[in-house]
Amino acid sequence: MTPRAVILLALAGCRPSLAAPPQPIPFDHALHLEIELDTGSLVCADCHPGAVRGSRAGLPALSRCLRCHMRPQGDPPRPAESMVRAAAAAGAAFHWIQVTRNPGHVHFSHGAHVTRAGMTCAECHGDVTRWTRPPTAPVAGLTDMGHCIACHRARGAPTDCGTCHR
Amino acid sequence: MTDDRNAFSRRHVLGILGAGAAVAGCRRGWTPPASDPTGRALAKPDVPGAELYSTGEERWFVSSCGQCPAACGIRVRVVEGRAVRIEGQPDNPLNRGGIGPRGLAALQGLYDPDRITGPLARRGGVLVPIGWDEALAELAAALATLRARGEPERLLVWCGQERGVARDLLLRLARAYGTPNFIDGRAGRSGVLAGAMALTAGVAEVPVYRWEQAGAVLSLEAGLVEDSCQSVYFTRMAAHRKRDRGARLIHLGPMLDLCAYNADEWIRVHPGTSGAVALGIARLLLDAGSLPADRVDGAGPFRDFVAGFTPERVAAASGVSPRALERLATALWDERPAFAVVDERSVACSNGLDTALAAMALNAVFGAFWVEGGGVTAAPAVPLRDWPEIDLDELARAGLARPRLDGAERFPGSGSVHEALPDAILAHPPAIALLHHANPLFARQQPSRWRRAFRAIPQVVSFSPYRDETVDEVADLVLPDHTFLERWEIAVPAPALDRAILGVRVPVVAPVHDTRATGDVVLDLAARLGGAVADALPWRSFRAASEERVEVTTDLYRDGFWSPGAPPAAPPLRVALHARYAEPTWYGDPAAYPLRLIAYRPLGYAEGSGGNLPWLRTLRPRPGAHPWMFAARVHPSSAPGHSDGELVVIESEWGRIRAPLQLDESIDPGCIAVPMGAGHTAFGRFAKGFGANVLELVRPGPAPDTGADLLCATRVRIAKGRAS
Amino acid sequence: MKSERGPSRRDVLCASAAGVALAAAPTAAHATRERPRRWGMVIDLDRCTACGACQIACREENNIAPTGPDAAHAGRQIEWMSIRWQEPEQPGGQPTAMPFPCQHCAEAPCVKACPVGATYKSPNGITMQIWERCIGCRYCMVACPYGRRSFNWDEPHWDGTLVQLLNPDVATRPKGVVEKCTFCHHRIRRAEEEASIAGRAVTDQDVRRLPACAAACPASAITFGDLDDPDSEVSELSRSPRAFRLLEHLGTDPSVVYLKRDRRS
Repeated sequence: MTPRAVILLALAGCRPSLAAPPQPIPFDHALHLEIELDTGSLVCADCHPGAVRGSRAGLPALSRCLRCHMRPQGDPPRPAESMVRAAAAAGAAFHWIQVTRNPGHVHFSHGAHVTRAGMTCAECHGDVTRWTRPPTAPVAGLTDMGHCIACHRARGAPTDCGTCHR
Repeated sequence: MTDDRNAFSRRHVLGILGAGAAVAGCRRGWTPPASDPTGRALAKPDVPGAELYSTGEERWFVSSCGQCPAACGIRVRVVEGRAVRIEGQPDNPLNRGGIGPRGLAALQGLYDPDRITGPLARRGGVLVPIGWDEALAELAAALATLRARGEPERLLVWCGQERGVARDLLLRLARAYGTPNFIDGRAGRSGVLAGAMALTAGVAEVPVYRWEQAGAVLSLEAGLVEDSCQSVYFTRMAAHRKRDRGARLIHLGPMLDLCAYNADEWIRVHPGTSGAVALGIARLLLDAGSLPADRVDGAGPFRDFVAGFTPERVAAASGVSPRALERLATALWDERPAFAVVDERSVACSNGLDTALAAMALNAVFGAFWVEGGGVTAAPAVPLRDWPEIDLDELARAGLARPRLDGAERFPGSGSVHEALPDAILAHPPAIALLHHANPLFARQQPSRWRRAFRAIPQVVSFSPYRDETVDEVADLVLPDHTFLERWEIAVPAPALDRAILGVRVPVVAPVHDTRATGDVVLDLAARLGGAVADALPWRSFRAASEERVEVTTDLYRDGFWSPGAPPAAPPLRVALHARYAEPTWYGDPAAYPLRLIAYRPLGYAEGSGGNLPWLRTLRPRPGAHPWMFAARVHPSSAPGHSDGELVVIESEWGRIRAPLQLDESIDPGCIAVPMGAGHTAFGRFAKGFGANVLELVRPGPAPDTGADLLCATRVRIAKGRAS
Repeated sequence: MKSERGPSRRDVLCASAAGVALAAAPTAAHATRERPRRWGMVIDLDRCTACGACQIACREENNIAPTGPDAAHAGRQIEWMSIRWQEPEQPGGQPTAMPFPCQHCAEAPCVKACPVGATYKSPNGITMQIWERCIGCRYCMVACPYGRRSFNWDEPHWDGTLVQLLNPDVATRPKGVVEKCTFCHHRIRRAEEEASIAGRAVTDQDVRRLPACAAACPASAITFGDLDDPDSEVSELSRSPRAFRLLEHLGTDPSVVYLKRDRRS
């Protein structure tokens, strides 16, 4: 479909049904956040390295998963868990599908919101500890400029165009 | 932007509209187009090595630029396995955080869409892809056969670089194999400079200058910020000189190039005559200055010799008026410390060695060899240990005893005599030629001669990563090298500082294509050859071979360079003055060909391989230039009846090209200046078809006295009639 | 990312009655937590050697589309920072090389001319250009007395692997959009973000070589900083007797200060 057709359909209110984008692995956030490691439990920034101070939160490279999953994990290991080692053996890159995507001309800085504004991950992303499957839709409002502006106005954050557009 | 690299994701989400951002319940979210629902194509092209990066992750690497011999320190920003930015390394004493336009364009070289993607072999006249094992086995077999026939000297090894560990490794291969026919990049005009220093100070190294404390500098047609092998360093010195310290630069030259522009004063001279001006100044200053007998040899004959360089004679030779000459001499003397600078552009004419010697003599008069600051010295030795002596076998000894193809033995101090090769190759064709950083079918004088010569060589092997003219037309085997951003290497910067410095190059991205570092390929070949050759090159990798030669490694990896802090104490140089000077020779009948051709290296040209970097074409590299401009600059009086921008044919006795004219009031009348680096017939989509190759006009053959290239020794004319 | 912005403006104009992008002028900026600045640049024409590193660094940093020789000969090469040669004032003199970015005028004629508010003055003195709002009327190009705006006459594309060198921090612009130097606004914003995340203010040291052109220049000819801060290096340099600004008589109040070239004898 051409972009033009897209906007026409969207404005006409006719929306084709959406199916979940298949991630390389059906990652279970809830399970991973429950785990107790020697160093404590996993936090968001362990796999999303930019989430606290960086611009993009980031999606983990395969090497991150391999830190634990070099050997089968889980008792018993789930079938999907072996896919990590299979991908490593094949030397393949891990292509997570980024579900919450803004267009290229929008700049969103996690660091500015988390560290500077003091927000928590859950404020925007919801209660991730209940996610047993990867998200299939972007977080409500996060790709909507009106939503961003409303929150910025409410909190006294800058609404100058250049703050978010590049 | 459709991009098939992401077929995996697209196949899965085909038919699903904007799965990501078309938010359930939110009608105003951005929808990625169905053709690329993940948006990966342009944002995150799949590149090798991306799997090691988290999404959006960036890393910075410290390395050394390899775009020209300067080897400036750089920092490279790599995002998700893609190199997206090159900046200068602030601590590197050469560039101190700055970077030149050519260094920045390295990214275009890395990601050139026309790069060679893997080994190629010529089958049935066409280059077709083959595997590395097959390619290396083929070449190793050919090398072994040649050796077994007892003809190792019929291997020609050509390394276009004049320094560096890769060059040393190729030399070692040549020697262990038994061929004296090792050609390197020193041949050109840096050989003349080193030859002048050898004759003057007994050190066969190019001169380096201490700019920071100089009071006045005289440039004898030097290229410095435009043409030299250390343009970024000279740019930094130029700015420092102009605003921070105040040394005055007076430039002698025939045209308003960037060195003239950046000088405090530009005195126009006929091309190749700045040596006469230097001798005229020496004559005027001989009484004021002194040539102490304990430091200077040949002062007497020199004094007698320069007595003939009266202001009138100098004016007749160079066009500098007697009054200007006297003013110049006075100014330089009063503003000491002073020195005269020559670089490769200074010695482009047939009297290059004379010009360089004149500069060195003037430096002796200034006392520049014996001052701590503001003076001249020989480039320091490279701080690399030697590899162990090669244990030559009988075959190698026999081969090395045979005469070189290029007859370089006739020219002491000159490494190679490039321009003697085409005839020599036709007379005694080598069986195998290995070419590294060399594209003679474009970058050498009279490309058609070189084409004929190389067609006579049964097996031509190129390590070029790009499909240049040599690869395209005559290569039988191509073993593409990594670009410098993909390989590990010890970099030896071109001399500029008075203290030693080494750089390190590290791979900042995974190899984009199926290429291999030439150093590793050479070691692989040696291993396959076995015997004495393998013993001489026993290392398992080029990196291991290089590391054996480096004394200090910690700083090298952390900072990207290593340089001792303080310069070594200036040696009490004893210099010899030479009483010699000849006017430049211009080959061609002056009546038929009235104009003197100045073929010069423009900004960004470096060693000639910048044609495939379109960013460099967007510059306005000299006054009056436009982007993507190729033109022959000439004084209006030298092109009567022609208009600015007119397309004309320029001819010499040896060739002809078509070029638009740029009428320029500032250039020396009687000259026509044409930039090198244009006129590619291969080398990728950005290089092909732009401009014309001035080297087709240039008289073939080396300088008779030094064996160096003669870029500016040809007479040309603008042909009558209109170019079609 | 960069050119896959979704529907083009043309599609929006054709299809939409809902006025998606044709909103009124941008909202007045809220007071930022930091003191408002006036970002400016000082370019020393004596130090500049016309090497062109600034131009190439800008092209690299900002994903400027390669337009090729034909566009260049038609005067359509897209240029943000570039070296232009200024003709000598007296006949027989030398031309002067001038690195020539957008002048970020405080009284910007382009801002007054834009009908859709795609270009506006940020509170920190940068003349911003929001690609997504531009409708390609090019009134701003007519209004700009310095000619420092470029138009995308064609859809930019990068052949093959060349697309890999694109800087992910800067959006690419599609066909039909005017673009110009932004003082590397994305770098400034990144520096400000990193500073505030680290709990400190942005200092003059952080920004004096922050735009890509200033960072690359081997001659240190380009300095960037806050013109309203009397202690910043740009303020000091702009008080030099050699300082001048281009076309001051037009009342544009540019934020780029040049230092005259006076080393010629």
